[in-house]
Amino acid sequence: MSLDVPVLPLNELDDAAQAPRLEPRVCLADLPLGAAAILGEADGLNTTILRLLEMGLTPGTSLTLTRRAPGGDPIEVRVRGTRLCVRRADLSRFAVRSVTLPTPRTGRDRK
Amino acid sequence: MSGAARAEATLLEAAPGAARQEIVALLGNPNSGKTTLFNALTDSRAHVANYPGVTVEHREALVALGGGQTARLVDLPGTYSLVPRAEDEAVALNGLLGRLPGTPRPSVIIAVVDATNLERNLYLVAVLRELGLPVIVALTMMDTVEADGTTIDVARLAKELGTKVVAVAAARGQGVKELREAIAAQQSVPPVPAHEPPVNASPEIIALGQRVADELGLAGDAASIGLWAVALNAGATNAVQFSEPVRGLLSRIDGAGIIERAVASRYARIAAWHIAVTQQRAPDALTRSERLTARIDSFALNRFLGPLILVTIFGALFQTLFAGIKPVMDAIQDGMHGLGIHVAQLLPARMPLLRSLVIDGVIAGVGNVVVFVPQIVVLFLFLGLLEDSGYLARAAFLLDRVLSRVGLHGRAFVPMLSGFACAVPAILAARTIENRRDRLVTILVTPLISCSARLPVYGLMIATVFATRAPVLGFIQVGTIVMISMYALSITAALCMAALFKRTLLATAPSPFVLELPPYRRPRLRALTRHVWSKVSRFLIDAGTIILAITILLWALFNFPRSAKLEADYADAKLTLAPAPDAGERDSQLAALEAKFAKQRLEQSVAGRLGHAIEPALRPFGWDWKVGVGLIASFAAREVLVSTLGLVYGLGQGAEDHPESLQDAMRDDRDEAGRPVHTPLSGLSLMVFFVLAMQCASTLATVRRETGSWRWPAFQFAYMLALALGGSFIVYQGGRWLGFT
Repeated sequence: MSLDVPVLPLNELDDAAQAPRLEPRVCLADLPLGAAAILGEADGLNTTILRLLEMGLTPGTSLTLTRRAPGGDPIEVRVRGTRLCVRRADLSRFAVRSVTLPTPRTGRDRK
Repeated sequence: MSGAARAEATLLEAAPGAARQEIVALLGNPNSGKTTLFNALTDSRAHVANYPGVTVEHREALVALGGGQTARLVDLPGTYSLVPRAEDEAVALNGLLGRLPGTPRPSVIIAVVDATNLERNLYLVAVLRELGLPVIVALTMMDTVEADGTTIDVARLAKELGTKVVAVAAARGQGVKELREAIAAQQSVPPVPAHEPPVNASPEIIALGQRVADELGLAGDAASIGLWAVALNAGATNAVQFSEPVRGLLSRIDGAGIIERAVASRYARIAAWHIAVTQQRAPDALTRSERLTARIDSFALNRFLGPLILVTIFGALFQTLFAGIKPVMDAIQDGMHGLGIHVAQLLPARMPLLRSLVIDGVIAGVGNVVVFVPQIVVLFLFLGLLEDSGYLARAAFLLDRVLSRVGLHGRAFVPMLSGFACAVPAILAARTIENRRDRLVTILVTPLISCSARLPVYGLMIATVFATRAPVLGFIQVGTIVMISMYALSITAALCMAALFKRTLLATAPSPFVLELPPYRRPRLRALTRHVWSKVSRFLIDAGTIILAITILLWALFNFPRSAKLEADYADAKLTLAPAPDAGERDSQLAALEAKFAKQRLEQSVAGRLGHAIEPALRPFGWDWKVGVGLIASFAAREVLVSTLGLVYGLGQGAEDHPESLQDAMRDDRDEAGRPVHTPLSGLSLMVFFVLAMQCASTLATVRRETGSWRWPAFQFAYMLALALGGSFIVYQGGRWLGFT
């Protein structure tokens, strides 16, 4: 696992409009499809967050956004070799340690 | 008899002394191959029952362990965690702890671990080991793993976990014998020491753990057990009822931080095991099965194609349920009718009451039960295929956004859609919703969906009161608009009530939603047919007896009390029937006579008198006593309204076969003041009543069966009746106030 990928400045993300420059926090749910994030801590503990932790979304885990349902919610992610669908409200509560953006080719393909 | 008691009784019959059997529990993640393994271990002789008081299904069977030894194998609901979130998961936990009524503590737990998804599946094993519960690991899907070019060192895994690990390919029967031997051997082996706690716990947590260990009889490390109790507390479930002192300790511990660290530490431990035991040919590449799944999903979950495929699949299901299966259902009804005629000839004509009981009570009642079988078979075959192949999870993914708006679970879609055909199979289909509250909401509102049994009623009323109206804009039939409005009303009512229940009566914290998309798998036909058969047979036994009883009860309401004078008059009139020149004329005269007396008999029956008695109460809705009698009958099944009105209007049995005469009779019907009895307004009011009211004994019987008590069907009946009366009242009085007739 490569934990040392630097956090990209936000203005380099696909959709700069959605993530204003001054906001220091990357919102996991707003990352482009194909982006891989190393998870940080979750903000607060409720039953869903606890369950997501128990399903393997622990700090340091690599998570890839693979698909959005029509309408943008829920979001399908790949984590620890399984595919989970999570609502964006829950996903947004996980901090992001670092992001690897998809290579341009995949980005276009997914579009 | 409660479910557990019944299960117990059946097992006792199956094997004397079963009560002293050791319990072996089967536990695992959903989709881990647990059911296939259960079937392989028990040779598919499962007994299915509900756990008492809950709607969670419970399967158990005797398993032969070799050497004449047997054990009770209990299949616990699939779960990802020992911190339950839904009722099903609470059942799984309580099953492990031996806290389910009628099911003692298991002597061995078989943890089913899906080898294609080792890390997440081992999480459950890690917690079980910390709590000191006796575990054997059954590693399933090994064939898929090997086909993908990955090797798993089973012996090494056993060493790391400190448990026995048996690799099984249950569908092919591989490893099943070894698993049986492992279970048998485990019974005589001293317990393995539990795993170390995942993180260092504070003295408070250790003290708590000691208390909990004493209360629940757990053998694990006090720190581990304390951590688990803290997580259980944070999970906000009351799955395990702790004593007052434990609750006091818990209230003083702030679990924030340590729970996350414990989970993370467990996963670090699991990652180490994972690396130690697996060798992948190409570690980061997608495996063969993953590639196939990804390819199918690029269509099935595509933003444009996905919804289209969804609509096609469920459109086909709906079409089959609604239209495709009609010939089969007609054939069943014709067959029952033919059987009735045949039996009538066997019974002596001197005993008309016995004849009537057998034909209109018993045979009609059995027919009312059997007629649902084709729909149940089709629906569950379809659902089973979708569930086993993995598509149902995709449908929930696609539909979650739409349905979550009204507080319905993504899987509520299937029951709601099936409800347009018939609420009975639809309510049975609500089983696919794991969360009990979500399931209850779905069960409560599904009968509001306009089912096919309402169609004859809509048809009759539209033909009676709207057919003569001039088309709107010259070409749109008024009847069409009315029909569409009824369906719109039904859908609106169902969605609004779902939203209401979800916010009030069955309110939960915003429904936690984590959905796993399992890889696509080929459904297994044998398991599927077994599943369908178990649904059908249990419907026939549990709901069928109630439906039969209600049919006979209604028959009695319509046939008693009998007047000796009326019967004597009937016999006289038959004798004095003028001998007609030809047989045809004589038959029609006889039929007219029978219809006349049937009408008089009905008027004297309890139901007829009840109709008259409630007439004043029906006036504000625009109905007379005849409709009242029809309404009473229609609580058995909605479509009965048509045949009952036929009887009331003196048209004899079988009015549904020549609808025009009934429509004419109703249209020409006048009250004392000479005004028509059936007006567009009273017809509309009656149709609204039929949309909203729970007039179906079979549905009530099914709800009782699915919820385990009469409480929910009673509530459902009451709220729908209130809704229907309110709706009809508003339509009729509001319409009159606006100047309509």
